[in-house]
Amino acid sequence: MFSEQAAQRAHTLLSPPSANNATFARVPVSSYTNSSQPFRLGERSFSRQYAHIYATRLLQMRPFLVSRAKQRWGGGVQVKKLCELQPGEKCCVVGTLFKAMPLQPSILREISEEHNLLPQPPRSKYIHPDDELVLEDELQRIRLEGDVDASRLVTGTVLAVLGSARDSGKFVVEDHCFAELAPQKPAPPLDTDRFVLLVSGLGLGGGGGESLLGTQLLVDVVTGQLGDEGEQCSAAHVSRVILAGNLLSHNTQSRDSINKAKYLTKKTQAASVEAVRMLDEILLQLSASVPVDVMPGEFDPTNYTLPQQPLHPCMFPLATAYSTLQLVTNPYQATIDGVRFLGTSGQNVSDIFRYSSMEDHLEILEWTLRVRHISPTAPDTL
Amino acid sequence: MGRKRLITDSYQVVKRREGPVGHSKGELAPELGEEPQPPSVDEAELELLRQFDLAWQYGPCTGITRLQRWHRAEQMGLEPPPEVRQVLQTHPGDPRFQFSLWHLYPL
Repeated sequence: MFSEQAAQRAHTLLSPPSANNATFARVPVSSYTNSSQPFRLGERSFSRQYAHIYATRLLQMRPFLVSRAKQRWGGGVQVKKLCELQPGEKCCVVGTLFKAMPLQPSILREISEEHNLLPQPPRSKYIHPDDELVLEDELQRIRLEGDVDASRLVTGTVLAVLGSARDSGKFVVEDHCFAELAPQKPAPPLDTDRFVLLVSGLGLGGGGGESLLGTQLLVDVVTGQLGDEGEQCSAAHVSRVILAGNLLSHNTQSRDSINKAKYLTKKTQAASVEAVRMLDEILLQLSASVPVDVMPGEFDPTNYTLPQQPLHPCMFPLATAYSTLQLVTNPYQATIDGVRFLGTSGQNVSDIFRYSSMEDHLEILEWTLRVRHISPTAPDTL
Repeated sequence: MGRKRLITDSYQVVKRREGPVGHSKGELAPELGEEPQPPSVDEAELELLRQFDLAWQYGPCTGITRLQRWHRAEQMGLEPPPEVRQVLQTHPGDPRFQFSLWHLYPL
């Protein structure tokens, strides 16, 4: 269960029951601050256009990129806007990337009758060798060619390219760079080992008849009811549990109840009701002993687009009695014991996976760190 | 029967004014005797706000109020002109001042 460094072996399982039971106090959380206020939406207005998001993104990232470009290509490199470009002159341009993908599912193409197209079946990757890259800044856009790997980049990334413009109207790229990692605050030293448990993909309500044994075992380990005294002591070092999304399985989102007429579905309950009841019981056991943060995921009953708002406490009547339960947004940011955590439930990584040739999810996650943006594809395809 | 009724009969008959010594073809010099009205203070302020809307440095202007756009530009360090904020604060609640140029046009 625990790795070699974390576990302490006590070999007390086969000893006769003792009169006094050993109790372990859980390590108290010395400091916790929830910094995900920027992700809470106040009022919802649906008339806002995406241009504001892109303009703000470019304006905020521009200084980081300019300093990074000067660092990489020397201080003498000229940073110009697209409107100031001269053909043949080598300079650096900062802008947002747009990738024109012919295979991207487009609602306009689907409902346009002149093409008589059937809706495209969902594929795992929408990349194509013919994808084109376009760089946009505040006023203009220009096509990119040259030494840039179109298959790896996705729409919405802000980057700096070094190259020159041709007479044909395209920009030939020699090199490009992202706004790499931001300066980090050093983590304060801790006195004892503390662990944060990350759980994801519980997939309740799957309906496949599988039992909840795995989940129940997990809850028992964390609450210290399993294992010998050494492992119970190690479990006491877990100071927080973060449930990172996909708490309900995608079977709960069956399309039948949505597409069928109302009179056919009157007596049937949505599958998510039963799943949420099971989740409530699990959360009750967990939050009785450890602070829990619950993040919504792709199939959970909250809004679909990022940032997802916290699940409503009325869904968990038993577990909300405990103040250790916290329902948080997705993405979620908090400072636990001086270490800053920032995470999502994975929708951004799977979206980048669909639109780029990168295969490894960890590599995609590292790439989002380098680009300094949690989900560059966000208003476009997420 | 009278003469044939033309559609132009329903319009007012306006005689062209002949200038002195036959200058009736059109005048390039401004006419004497009529000064243009001095632009009112409101007009000048509205013009200032319109220029603020059309300035591309501060981002898109549609969909948000001018005050919100001013605060956004200030937070990002673009130094928007403070006169715009003063004008906006002297006329709170007046939709011609508070909302952007394209407010009345849907989306």
